[in-house]
Amino acid sequence: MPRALSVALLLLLPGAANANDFPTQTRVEFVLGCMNEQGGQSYDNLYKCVCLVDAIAEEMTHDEFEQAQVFSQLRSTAGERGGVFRDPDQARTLVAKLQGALERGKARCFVAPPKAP
Amino acid sequence: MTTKRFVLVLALLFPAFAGANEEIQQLTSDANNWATWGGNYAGTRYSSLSQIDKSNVGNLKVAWTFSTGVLRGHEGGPLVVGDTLYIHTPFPNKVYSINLADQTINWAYAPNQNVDTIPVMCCDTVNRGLAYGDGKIFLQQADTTLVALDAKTGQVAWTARNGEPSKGATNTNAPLIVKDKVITGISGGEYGVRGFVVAYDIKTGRQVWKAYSVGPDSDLLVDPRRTTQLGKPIGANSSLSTWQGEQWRLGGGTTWGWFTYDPTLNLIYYGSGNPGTWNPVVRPGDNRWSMTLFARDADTGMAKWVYQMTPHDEWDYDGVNENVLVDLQVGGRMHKALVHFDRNGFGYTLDRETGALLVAEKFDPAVNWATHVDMKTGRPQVVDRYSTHKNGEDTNTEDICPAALGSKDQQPAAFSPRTNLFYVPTNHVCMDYEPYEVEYVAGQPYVGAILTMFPAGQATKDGTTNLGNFIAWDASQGKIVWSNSEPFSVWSGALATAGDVVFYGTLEGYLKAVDATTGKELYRFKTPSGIIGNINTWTHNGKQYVGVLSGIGGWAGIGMAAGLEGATDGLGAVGAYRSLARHTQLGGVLTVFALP
Repeated sequence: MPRALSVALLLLLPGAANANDFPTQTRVEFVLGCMNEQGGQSYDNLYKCVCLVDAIAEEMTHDEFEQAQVFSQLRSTAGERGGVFRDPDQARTLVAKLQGALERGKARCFVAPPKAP
Repeated sequence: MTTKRFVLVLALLFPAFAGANEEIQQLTSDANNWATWGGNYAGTRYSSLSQIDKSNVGNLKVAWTFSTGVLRGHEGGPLVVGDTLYIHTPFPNKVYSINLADQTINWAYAPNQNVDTIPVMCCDTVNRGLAYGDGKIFLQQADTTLVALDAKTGQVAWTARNGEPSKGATNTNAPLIVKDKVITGISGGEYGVRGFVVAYDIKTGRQVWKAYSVGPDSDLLVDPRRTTQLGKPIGANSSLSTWQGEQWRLGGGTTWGWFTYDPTLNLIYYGSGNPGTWNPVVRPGDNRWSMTLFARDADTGMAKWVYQMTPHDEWDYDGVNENVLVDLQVGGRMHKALVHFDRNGFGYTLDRETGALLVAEKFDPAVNWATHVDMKTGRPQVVDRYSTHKNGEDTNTEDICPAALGSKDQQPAAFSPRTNLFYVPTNHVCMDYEPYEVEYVAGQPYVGAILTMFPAGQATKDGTTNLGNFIAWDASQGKIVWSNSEPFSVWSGALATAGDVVFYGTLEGYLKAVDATTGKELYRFKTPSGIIGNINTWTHNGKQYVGVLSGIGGWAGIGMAAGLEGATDGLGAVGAYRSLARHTQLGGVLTVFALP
């Protein structure tokens, strides 16, 4: 019966929520970047940023996360080539999904807006 | 193979040539080096190294990294000659000489270039790399200065001014060394620059010949009776007669791609870019010789043959992509062939001796602007519905495939003689295109079109959203053998090796290794940033290495190489939604892989 229960739970949850498939390298890079934005490496910042990356990994697959990053970071690419990062529908939907995950995660993890450099 | 037979084979492959040719052929025939952009004059980007093979590539690890300290897109790849690696950067076009024994810097060259060059570079401030020859390293700076550096010391041996940046001329290409000459081109087709290829003396930097893409016959370096297109003489005024009035003066046909060379035929090969102004309505005619493949005598610049792939371009399908020189069986006969994957979506196989057209087939099934290429006339059969000229100014022509960035951009393909296949990084993107009226102002963009881009699956309605594919292509048949779907366009140059592994990079930053026969992924590693560079391979102390530049405009990743403690470094994986200014403090990184 416990087995049937877990199968039922799996069916209830959306697929992405179960993926939680961020590799170590992505989590480490994210946490280092996040701590950097929070003002430096400290346990305070470490706990917040670990919480945040885990929160995002619960909402998106790693493929979605990576693609959202590419679209948002390359949308300012100069010249005609930039259009390929601005125009496609999935550029908007994936970036919106990442933004939503970040906002919910930050509220949950006590992450403050970044300090000015 | 006995030594005697080996020498005989070598002698057949490499007849004696004077000067730098001999040196470069020796260097490139030794797979321990990577001495020219394509690995060899033929541009095959194939290495006979086989330590890293199908069975062990999955164990690759990062051996070392080197941060260039420069932002923006990093195209091209490292050169390796003996114990030294040479690497270049985007604007301001730094050059580093690195000792492979301990990865220390032998010397660095940092030109002082006017930052006014940056705004007139249409498509990011890239540079596609260096050339080596005659004990010098050659760099074609963005401000059009061609620099010869002493390979041992980095001291400037000579410089030559190749164009006028204030009028929109810039440079992004890698030069090619042929005999006693440095061959280079020019960028700026979006600014009304008239394209040319030029040869400078390797010792002095003096100009030896210069051949324009468009204009009067004397400028073109053509012989109206002997220069042919598909076997027929091109005749007098072949370019002028295809432009209205003086339009050819802003005619484009720039030459920012790759150069290859056949030492036996003594011909250099390259393609020209789009005609001036993207709005086709205001420049009736075929606009020759924009969008054209050229075969020119290396000594004189005289054109032996030309082939215009896209007469009267209406879509910005620059013809500058690389021309790979291989011997292929086509239609039951061996040909000295030239294979070219054009932005227009057709994969061309030509006889590189005669310029005869052998194969012209779509290398992306989505291509729709033309039904096919007429093999007699060489002309693409344009579909009216996708003709931005027929539909006219201020009309939005929808669902044209490919988009203006083409089915493939400059990132060079690779060829393996073991599989007889080409490995091609491609775009899978379509567009809506609306031309509008535009006036020419020197140094201002001369484009005259608005475009919107989207995944090809949106136009073909097959439900896919991938923006790229990495394909294997049979150039004898003109057929795709396998195709790997990629979420993004593939903008890195490929590498094929005797280990039957093919390498390429992705915009997410992955270096990928796939099986040359099947395309099956064998390895991936995420580098600090998106990859638009070329993957090259070499040995040091008998061990095989594979190296690639990562780095692309606005990218927020960072690597250990750049120092994780740097307070303002843009370690911004979290910053996807924030202003880019906060995230642009990183440099590009050369990542070098080896087996443990």
